[in-house]
Amino acid sequence: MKCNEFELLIDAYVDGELKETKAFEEHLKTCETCRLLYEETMAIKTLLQDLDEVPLPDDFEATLHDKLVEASKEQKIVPFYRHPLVKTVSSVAAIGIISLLAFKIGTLMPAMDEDHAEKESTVAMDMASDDGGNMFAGEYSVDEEAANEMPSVAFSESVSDLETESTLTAASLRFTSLEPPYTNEEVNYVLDDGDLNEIETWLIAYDVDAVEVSENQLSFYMALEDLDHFKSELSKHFQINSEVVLDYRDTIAMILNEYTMNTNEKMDQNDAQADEYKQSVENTLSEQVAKIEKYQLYKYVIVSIKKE
Amino acid sequence: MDEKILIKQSINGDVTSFEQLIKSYQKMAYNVAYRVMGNEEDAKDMTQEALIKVYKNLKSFRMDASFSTWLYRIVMNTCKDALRKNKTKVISLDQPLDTGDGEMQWEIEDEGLKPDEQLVQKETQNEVQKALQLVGENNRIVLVLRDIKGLSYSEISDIIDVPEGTVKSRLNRGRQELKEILLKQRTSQLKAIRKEG
Repeated sequence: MKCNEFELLIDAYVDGELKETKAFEEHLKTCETCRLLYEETMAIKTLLQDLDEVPLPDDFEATLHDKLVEASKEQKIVPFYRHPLVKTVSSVAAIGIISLLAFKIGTLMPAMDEDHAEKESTVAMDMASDDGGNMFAGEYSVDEEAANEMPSVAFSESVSDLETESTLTAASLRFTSLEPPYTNEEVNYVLDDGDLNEIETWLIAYDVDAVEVSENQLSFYMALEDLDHFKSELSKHFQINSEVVLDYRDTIAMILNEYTMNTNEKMDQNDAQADEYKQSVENTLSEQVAKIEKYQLYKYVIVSIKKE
Repeated sequence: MDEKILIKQSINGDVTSFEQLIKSYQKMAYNVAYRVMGNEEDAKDMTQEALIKVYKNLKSFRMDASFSTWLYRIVMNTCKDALRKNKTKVISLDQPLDTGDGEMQWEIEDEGLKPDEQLVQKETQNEVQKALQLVGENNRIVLVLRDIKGLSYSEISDIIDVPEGTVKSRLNRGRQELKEILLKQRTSQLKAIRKEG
């Protein structure tokens, strides 16, 4: 055995992971330099092994218990488009929302500067499409370069083109169902159990919620600050075919606004009602607002991936 | 009680079952976090954060996998994530370790007067712990899992999700780094003694 081979095997040897030890031990006996290296390596290993075990802090179990109780009460975030409030608005203000939409298209688009607008990934929405139930039904394309940026929501037809009331209602139902868009690439890979296990074990290190898997796509909410790091981790193990990052902030603001307006209107029409009743309506409102507001802290991400 | 039963009860939200489930792991998880993070406060935070993640995500744990591997993987990922977020925290060899709450942690506890031997041993331990914090984070994690936790290369490979070859080379680099740091520490201590003398 040569010295450079010895150096390569030394860690496996001191760790008891070297199967063929004979040649190694022969060299150890005859080479002074390598013997020194071996002793140093053993010394370092022993120093670490000799570190005393540290005791758990006194309040470890008690504070953990409190956090666990807290966690057991917490409700998982359900996908935003399935949030009950989104449905509520749909029945209360179906037409109201769509007319509001006509004026507020600008605000529906996630905040972004105009320079980026052209190279952003776009979600084209065809309001007249027969593809029921999907807000973003229609063309969808992703620009690789713009992958890190927020997508814009572009309408292929102006809402004002919609004429009859029945069309309005149908369209508003589509809007209020708020289904996320899916990438339109061909699925030629299905994530298997092994992939999922692998993904899930490091995905949960992030601030992430509502993970859904469909064939080769992962959909989840993630805090914005984690997104870049997560994607760089993901791309080490998987090939990212395409991705969508949705920012719901403006949509949420709009829904909240509409919801509040409606509730206030109803309250104004009923002056005679007892204060107690009004109070309970207000409480419900603020509860709902709190529930839905947390979606503003997350981005909804869909990545379509494939094992390399 | 059987681990699988405890896992099922924990999935249903039973906190007591979960506490029983993690009882035999939490101390080791804390120790590993302590050696990786470098101080007790961060170690406590990270261990607890990781255990909460384990609790919340038990539903997605596959029963045929190893629970301890899964748990340690979450602990390691949580530590790594925290280290990534605190990248600005740079420890210098020339300065005492400052965690932001004043100097601390190197003296684990004050036991009054103790025999010289014990004192020397404690000093060596502090020195090693301090040097360990200067080893690159990926190499440090492997060193801790191997020499402190005593895991095999294949177990480490499962936990940190890299091939065994990578485990081996990280161990090699980690030990090299640690050796050089300790030598440097010794040399600067010697110089200081000479100056005083």
